[in-house]
Amino acid sequence: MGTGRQGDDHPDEDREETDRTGREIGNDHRRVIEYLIDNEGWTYKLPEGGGYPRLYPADRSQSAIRVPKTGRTRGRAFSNWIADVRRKGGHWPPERE
Amino acid sequence: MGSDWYSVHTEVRASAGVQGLTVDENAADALMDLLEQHDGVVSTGTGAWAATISVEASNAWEATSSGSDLIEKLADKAGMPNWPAVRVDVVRQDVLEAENIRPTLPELVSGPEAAEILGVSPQRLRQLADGHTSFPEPMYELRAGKLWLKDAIEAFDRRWDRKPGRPRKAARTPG
Repeated sequence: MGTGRQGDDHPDEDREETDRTGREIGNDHRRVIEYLIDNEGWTYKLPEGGGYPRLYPADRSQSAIRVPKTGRTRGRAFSNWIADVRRKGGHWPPERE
Repeated sequence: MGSDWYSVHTEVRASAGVQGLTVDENAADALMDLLEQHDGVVSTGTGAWAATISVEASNAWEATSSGSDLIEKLADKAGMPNWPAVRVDVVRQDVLEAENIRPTLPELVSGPEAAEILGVSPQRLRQLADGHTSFPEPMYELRAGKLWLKDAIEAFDRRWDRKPGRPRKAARTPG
């Protein structure tokens, strides 16, 4: 853990298969995360001992994003979270009009 | 003077040579808790972490100052590593929301689709791609074929000075 180069790997190098999202997070976040897992190679981990779920970008040089828990976000918080996903290479919304 | 909401993103990184590049996950969770009332989100990597919050301010300069100060103060309280900030991004919340709904993936077209846009046959498209000096370079060259930016093909269509009739064959040297 944490033995990699600065800022260019995820702390949980030993993680395996991605978890799937559940009721721990809100529907808006779940929709984005499921898309990123299924289509862009991102992974999702729900820490066993509690704590915030983490979303790992496919680009392993990018940091893991924490996911707010159900009922704990408002509109601006979701915008900030989406901006972070996009900043780390996630494509959302996925389709052009 | 009125005020607006701004999204403030701060990224910090450990300086070169610093020992202990791991971010304590409990501290990062604590920072998420502290930032909740500020619409916050935290990301962590090895030797780096970042946080985004929303603040109300009269302009972007004020938001930069108050937002980054607040992140620094709460990060310290949460026990996050005290590494130097390397980036601060500030954007008015309504501008961010407008950006967020714009797709980041460019629209791509295959050869047959590019031919359709230009109103030419696939064979003519190949000639243009291979021989026309101002034809756009493909974004990707896959085994299955080339992919171009749709915008680039449409721009070429607008500037292309079409000559009527069949393209002339290259002159042959008498053998």
